[in-house]
Amino acid sequence: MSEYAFRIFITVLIVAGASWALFDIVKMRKLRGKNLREPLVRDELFGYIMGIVIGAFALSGVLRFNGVI
Amino acid sequence: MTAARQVSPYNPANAVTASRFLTLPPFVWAVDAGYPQWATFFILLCGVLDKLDGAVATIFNCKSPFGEVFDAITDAICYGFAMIIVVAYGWAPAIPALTVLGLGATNTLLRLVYAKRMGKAVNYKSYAMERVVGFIGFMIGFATARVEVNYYYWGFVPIFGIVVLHDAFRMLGSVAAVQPAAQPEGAS
Repeated sequence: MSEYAFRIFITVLIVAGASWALFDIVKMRKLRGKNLREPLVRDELFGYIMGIVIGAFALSGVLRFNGVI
Repeated sequence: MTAARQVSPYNPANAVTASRFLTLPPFVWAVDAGYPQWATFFILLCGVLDKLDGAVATIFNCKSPFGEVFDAITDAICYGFAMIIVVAYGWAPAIPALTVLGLGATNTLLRLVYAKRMGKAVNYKSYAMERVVGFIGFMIGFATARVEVNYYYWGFVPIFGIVVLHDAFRMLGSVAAVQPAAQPEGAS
């Protein structure tokens, strides 16, 4: 695979992985109305928030990789 | 009344999990020979098999507590070993990579304490840790593909630290909450 094709492949792969954060946003919205005092619900919420943070972090890196930021 | 279904450890899902170890020798070969694209391919294959084993367990109806623990152990061995390799060959910065390995080892230790004290064979379910482990697979790929390696490795350390701290409080808190109830009647 040429360097350019590999770069595109890696970029697509990272963006696809980071888009997992979108599922976490949807799942987090579904938690609305649930009792946040419940430890298991809080665990779930924390997991989704970290998923979104990791997704944003992965995206920021791929933007740096491609010289956008 | 139906008896609880016994699942053999020799099932298709665990076979897929075990097959992930087969990606490690060619991964080492690729790093040693200086083929970053092949190294990326083999770690990607390892990650794909990780996603596949859950689907296979659902299709063949062979989910088991052993399978869950085996999957977690395989994650730790495969990704831990691959991270050591990329550090050893200078493809990733040593300090953040070793910090990540240390945090992973701490988390594993806490899970063992939790499982032992709670008398459960199954791990504490952490939604955050699931995402973190998935990202660690990507981090090895960042090193082999040379994608913003320093940025990703140094930036990930505080994220992982927060998740390990959160899970430590949750696991130790659960143990503390259950222990008084577990004491026999009359015990002081």
